[in-house]
Amino acid sequence: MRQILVKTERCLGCKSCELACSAIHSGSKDFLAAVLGGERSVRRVTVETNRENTVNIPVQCRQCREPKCVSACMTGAMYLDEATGLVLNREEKCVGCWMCVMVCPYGVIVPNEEEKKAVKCDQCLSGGHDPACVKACPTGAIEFIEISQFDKKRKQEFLTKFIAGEEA
Amino acid sequence: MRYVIIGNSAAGVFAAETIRGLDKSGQIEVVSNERYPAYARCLTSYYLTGQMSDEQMMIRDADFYDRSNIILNSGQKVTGLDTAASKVFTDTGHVYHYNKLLIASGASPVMPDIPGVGMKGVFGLRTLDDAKEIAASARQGRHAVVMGGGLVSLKAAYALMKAGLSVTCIVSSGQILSQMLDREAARILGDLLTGHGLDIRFYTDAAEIIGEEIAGETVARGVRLTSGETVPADIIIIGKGVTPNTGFVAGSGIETDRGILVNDYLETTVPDIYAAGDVAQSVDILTGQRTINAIWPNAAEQGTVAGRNMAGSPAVYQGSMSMNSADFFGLSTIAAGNPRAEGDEYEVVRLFPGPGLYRRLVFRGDRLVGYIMVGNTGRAGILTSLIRERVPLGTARDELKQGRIGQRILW
Amino acid sequence: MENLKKTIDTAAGKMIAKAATEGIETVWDRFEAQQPQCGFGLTGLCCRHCNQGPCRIDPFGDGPQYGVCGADADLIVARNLLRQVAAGAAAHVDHAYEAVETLAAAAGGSAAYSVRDRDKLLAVAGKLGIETENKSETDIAKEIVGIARSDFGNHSGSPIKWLVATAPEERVATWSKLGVLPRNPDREIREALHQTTMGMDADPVNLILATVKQGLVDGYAGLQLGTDIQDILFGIPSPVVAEANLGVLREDHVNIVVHGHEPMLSEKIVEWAHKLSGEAQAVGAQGIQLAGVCCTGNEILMRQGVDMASNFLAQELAIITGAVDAMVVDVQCIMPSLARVAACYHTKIFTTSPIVKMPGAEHIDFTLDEADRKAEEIVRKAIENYRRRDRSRVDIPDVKTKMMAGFSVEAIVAALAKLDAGNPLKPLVDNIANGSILGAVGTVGCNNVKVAQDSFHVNMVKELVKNNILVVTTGCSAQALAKAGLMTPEATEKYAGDTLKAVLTAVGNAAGIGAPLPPVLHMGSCVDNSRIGDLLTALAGYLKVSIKDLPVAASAPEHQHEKALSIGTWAVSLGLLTHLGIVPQLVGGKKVTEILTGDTAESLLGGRFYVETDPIKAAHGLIEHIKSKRKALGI
Repeated sequence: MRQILVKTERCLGCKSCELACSAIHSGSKDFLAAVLGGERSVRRVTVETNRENTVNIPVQCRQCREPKCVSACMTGAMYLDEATGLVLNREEKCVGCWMCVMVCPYGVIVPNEEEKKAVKCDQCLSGGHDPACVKACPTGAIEFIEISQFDKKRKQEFLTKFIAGEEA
Repeated sequence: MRYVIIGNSAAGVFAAETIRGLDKSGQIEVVSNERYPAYARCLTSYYLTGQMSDEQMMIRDADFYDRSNIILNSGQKVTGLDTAASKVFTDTGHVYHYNKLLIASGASPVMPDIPGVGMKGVFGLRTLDDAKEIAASARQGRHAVVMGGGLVSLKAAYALMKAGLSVTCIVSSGQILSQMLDREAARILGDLLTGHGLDIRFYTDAAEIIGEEIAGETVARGVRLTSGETVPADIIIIGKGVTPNTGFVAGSGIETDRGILVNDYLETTVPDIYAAGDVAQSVDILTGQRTINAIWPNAAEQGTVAGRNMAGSPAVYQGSMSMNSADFFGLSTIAAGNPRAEGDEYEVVRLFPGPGLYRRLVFRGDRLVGYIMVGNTGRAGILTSLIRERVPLGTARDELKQGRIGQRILW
Repeated sequence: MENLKKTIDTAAGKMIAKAATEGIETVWDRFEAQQPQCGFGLTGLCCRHCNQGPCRIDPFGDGPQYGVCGADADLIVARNLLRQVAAGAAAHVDHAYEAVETLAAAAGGSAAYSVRDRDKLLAVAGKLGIETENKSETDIAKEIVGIARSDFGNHSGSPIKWLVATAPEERVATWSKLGVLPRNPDREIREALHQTTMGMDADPVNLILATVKQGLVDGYAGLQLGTDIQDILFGIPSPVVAEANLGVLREDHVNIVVHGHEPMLSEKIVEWAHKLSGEAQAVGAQGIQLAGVCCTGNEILMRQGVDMASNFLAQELAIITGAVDAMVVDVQCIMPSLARVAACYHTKIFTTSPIVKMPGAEHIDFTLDEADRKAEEIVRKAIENYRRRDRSRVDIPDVKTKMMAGFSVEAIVAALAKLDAGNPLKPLVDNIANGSILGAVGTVGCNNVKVAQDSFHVNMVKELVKNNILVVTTGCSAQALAKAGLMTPEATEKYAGDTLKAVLTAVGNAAGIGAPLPPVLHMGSCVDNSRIGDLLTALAGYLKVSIKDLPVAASAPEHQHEKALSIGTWAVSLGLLTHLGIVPQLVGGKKVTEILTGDTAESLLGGRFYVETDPIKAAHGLIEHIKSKRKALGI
């Protein structure tokens, strides 16, 4: 199962992922059209930074294996999809009670007040499971990749640096 | 293995699902006194608006029971247990034999002891049948009285207002949502609701329900208040809290207090019998005392934990926590933990970051123990998690007091 | 990116393929590498004016709504727009200033330059109120230079003289009422930079008015001043026939491509190419083939009939033919990549302006004093470089089209005078009034890699002429339309609506062409947009209405440059509906966008911007506008 993973040292905090997320979830799915049309599109990712502003990281749904939002959901809208491992919200069932918002430890479920729907990252499943934030990242900081692969690449990078004497 | 689950709501369904996930072959029987597949109990108030279909009320797909190989025995009320023989008896004469039993029988509305509560037009609001009856009456009625200022009452009042009724809310204390909010937050919400036409009467209570005889039936027509005034009403909804449905365990050897007492594994005092949800009195994460936090998320989690233990995959319940979320006219309000705490051992910070926005944070020592957020509640879950995980705050405490977590602003 | 999404020009398509085979990076590769482009920049919501930033405003409302200093979305957008338009105006004004300097040199007895067009000299002197009787051309020229320079040295509050001498009174009054009449082009541009620094103007509306003022600076101290003076120096264009597209390059000739915007150098290159063609034969070539890219190409096409190589997006592709021995550049729109591309071939890039240098290019500092010597040096070096050409790598696409150009206002009036000598505008106006010509649209501006090269120009214009709209054009738009074959009599037969066809045929026959005029009239370079302004002024004057009431519109279908925004702002200020085919970087400011594209601009100026990214829809938007103007005129 691929996950959205971040190389934080590459994140410049440009927020392109945020805009791409808003755009892909707008009616037109087109950034400029959405802005021109005055759409109030809700994004599912926020670029966070540490206290020193030295590390940036786009944060979106962590797709918990034991999701608090699913047990808190009183309508049965939120569920853990076994096939994809994603936590998904059936918007037609969601009434906007914000119980999921209340329990999400990462604060990444967004209350869409206008539509009265909780919105969250579904890794762009409906758009072919090809996350817009990943495509939008100009530095390649956000990857959609198997965790094992990500680990492997990280190890290789470390060893390359280690051999070059750059890493103590 | 034979599993029997009494109750078909949050705790029962999550338990059944969890068991099925761990035990593919065991027999799972759910016994329910209601006549529907599992539905969203908390949506019953939404149902009153007349804009929810029955199908929308269901928390699982139509084929859920078949697909999961769970037998649903609906319309059967459990009347007693024989714990020695591992049997469950119902009012329909059915007897269920179990190896593992889960009691998730929930709770029922408390009806006040005043004249007229039995009249037609007087309702508790707990079940889908209650909701259907109220909704049917609402189509003809014009005035509604809601007794009680708790969340169920207010959500019902809100729904009836949306359905076009004029609604009076009777609150015996001086504030709405007195279990959930402090005075400040309650004032903001109260102003919002009255601004939209809700008539709230504080410091008064219903003395009796006044009715009239129509076709051999006494039909409610109004509520006389302790103040002497009479408020006309076609519909009267009682929202004075709930009481756990423990009647059938009497004499079974299962120890009860307010509800059924359970240990960290959600097991009752009788082996192989578990309890979860609004009927179970389990440990509270903040106080360490056994108490009932009768809310859906706790019930669902307890169902999951109980299910694991029943299916032989031991799990410890971390404890329940009080929390709730309300949204009236687009103003979201969330409170969790012990938000109303006062006193020397607590530090309370109140923030008013903007119009219609309010934050109350309650600290005890280095921990956050409660909060109230009115408006822009998107980051509430982080606070809930700080309370639940009892995170030592360190320097983050000062940030929180300014309404921030790191660089995240809480509004 | 598929090739069809890159260009509709088959010559360009072939060269893109060649570049790919040879592993040479072009503008399309770089555009692709730049994806995704930053949404904050795309919407104009990024501010880098002070070092507390960069600040960004979230266009969807989730994130911050104010920059560090407190500026909101509209303020940031308005400040950015003013800077862009001021920069565009600066480019045109600097260009015009060079022309003035050249006229000063000519009047001062320069051997290289002289007054070539007495008619224009007198016409310009006339509008400036210069007494010409019994004065020598040199003296008149000196007085004209004096007035131009006095605008740049104007320290009073009075408006730019060139503007007052050129623009219709009604417009001057309108601008005066809005307080946007510019005084001194340099001062206004300086003020715009000041106005947009940190802690200055916080009122988006005031900034938009300042932007309008920059549009007028551009229109009158840039475009108008430049064209007027250049016509005096190099002649008023008259109809010429030439060829367009990369196929004009010749395998057996020394190929010199001139690229940029000013005619001062390129005119000299034309002269020296003629003079030195014998030397080309000495190195084994048949002669020297000149070809233009961008507006410097338009300048020498209009006046000298020099063939056109291509437009903005194809500048690298000209080199990729392998057949260009020298590319001589002056100012503006010169891709910094040219030297890198040229390094893959024998091609030499000659930079000539002290403010346009490029690592990897040879810089020959072109000055008015040494104009001939420098032009000669460049042509000689080009000839010399022909020897180094690697014939195995030459592949000139066999694609070129015939075209007519040279439609200055004077040339158009002359053609119409063949129908009615006493009243030349009458036949045009009559045909507009009777609906044979529904209206006119001026298409101008650049290519932009965001749309397939030329596609917007060509598709929109075909739709317009089909609906009996006469199209006048300049700049890269003109080059796109020429390459698409729209500047030929055959195009009138093929694309024009029936009534437009009849009118163009009648005018063509009367003018002695023996065929219809093309449905698209090439009026010159970007600064020659002033010619469109002159034509509109003449028509409005003839009809005794305001320009804003005419059944006309403007369009910059593929604009990329800041200059295009300045021209567009001027067009809106003139009272024109001005279409932009690519969303400008300002839509993050809702109020600013509304003002510029909505009723506010229209009520104050008579014109407004109109953003539409589909060429056919845009054509119909323009047609609807023209119809509404016709209705208001009662025709």
